[in-house]
Amino acid sequence: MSWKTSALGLLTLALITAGATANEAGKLRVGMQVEREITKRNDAGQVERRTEPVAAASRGDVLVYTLQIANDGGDPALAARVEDPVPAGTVLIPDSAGGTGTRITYSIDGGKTFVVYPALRRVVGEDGVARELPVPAEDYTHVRWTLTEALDPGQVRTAYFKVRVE
Amino acid sequence: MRSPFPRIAVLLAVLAVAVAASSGTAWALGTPAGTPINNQATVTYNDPLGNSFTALSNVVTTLVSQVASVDVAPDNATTTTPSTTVTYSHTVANLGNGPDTIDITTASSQGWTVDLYFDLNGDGLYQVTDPVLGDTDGDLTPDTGVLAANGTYAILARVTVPAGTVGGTVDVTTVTGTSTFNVGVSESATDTTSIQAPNLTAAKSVAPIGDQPPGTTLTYTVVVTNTGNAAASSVVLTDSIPGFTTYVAGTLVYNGTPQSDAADGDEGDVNDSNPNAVTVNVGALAVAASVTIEFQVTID
Repeated sequence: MSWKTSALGLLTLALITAGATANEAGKLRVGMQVEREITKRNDAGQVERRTEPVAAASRGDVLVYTLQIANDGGDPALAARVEDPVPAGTVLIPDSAGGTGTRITYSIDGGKTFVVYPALRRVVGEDGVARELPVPAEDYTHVRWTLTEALDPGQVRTAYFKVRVE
Repeated sequence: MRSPFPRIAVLLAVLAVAVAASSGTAWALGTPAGTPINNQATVTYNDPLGNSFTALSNVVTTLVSQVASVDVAPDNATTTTPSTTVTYSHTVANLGNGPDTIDITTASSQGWTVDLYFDLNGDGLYQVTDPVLGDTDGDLTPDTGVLAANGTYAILARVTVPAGTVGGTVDVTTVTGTSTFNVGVSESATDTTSIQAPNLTAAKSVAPIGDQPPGTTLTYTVVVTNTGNAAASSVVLTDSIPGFTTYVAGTLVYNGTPQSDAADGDEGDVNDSNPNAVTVNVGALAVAASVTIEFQVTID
């Protein structure tokens, strides 16, 4: 993440904080930003990744959504979990979600149920035998980060996932 | 926000609809240009007293850019004869995710004339009612007009085969569609025209060769060969008696068979069908076949 985008992210967070003061009860704030991931192979043949700000994206572009979960309140937040839908017009890059101190699960049913990657679906083959097969990437509908510990006041957790623009 | 569950339910319902829409549609061309990709996360948590809370993140929006993609199909091939015009049908498609005007250009490997038409009724055939492909955007190149994403346009490329084109000639005309949204994006189809035509060559030799004194008898041999790739019909060979020579009566031989000098039942005659010339009605001449005519003259 470049310095410029970090500043943007902070600005976004600041706006969220300001905008959410009307919500008396909620002390957890989620700020989100999106960047485009650029992949290139360097002279040594290694894949290099960097991100850049993005306002408009084309088919095939990889977008990285980064979420910052901050506890602005005076009490610890317990059993916190963040859910994010895979945006319409994009496909999840399988197993791309991350976040320190979180347990990551995915939904393939519109957010009703969540499972650890890979999600399986029962498929009856041509031989009549039913098998549990991993679902294709486009079947993933939501990502969930469940914080493994209470988030104390002033603490921040970062989570992210990647999608490909269709 | 005290009772967040109905709101979550509504949110999830909306999301479910959105997801269904995105996975139910075949985005063969990608998401339409200008479509916003929106994302918003939801966090739920409890306070130490067991109260449950929900908060939403900001909404992040990314617009889908337009990407050009063009298709021209299919490739065609035909065999024809000289002095004909061959019509090739193509479908030009805008496979990009936004409106695009596709310029059409042609290039004939033989430098033949190629005319472009809009296939008005889409039947793949040329009718006089089919208009010449126009230049709708004023860039001096004929185009499809504005095609919506996934839009198609039927065109006809008419290749004119010049008279006298040698049998075996092959022309490859390339029909290229180029996006005007992104001129770096183009796609081509080829129309291959193979010419079927006889090609007659006549090789004439004389014996003896070199300078000869008056009174010498010269024997001329003419070999006519069809080097083309189609049979010739109604072939007539005419060969004038050279100046300063006199035909030796009764010396005309066609494929080893002596011919009378008169235009009668056989194939050859002298000074009869054509004045002061040898005429042989060869008739049909198959591919690679040849005939031989011989006659004698004396130098005056």
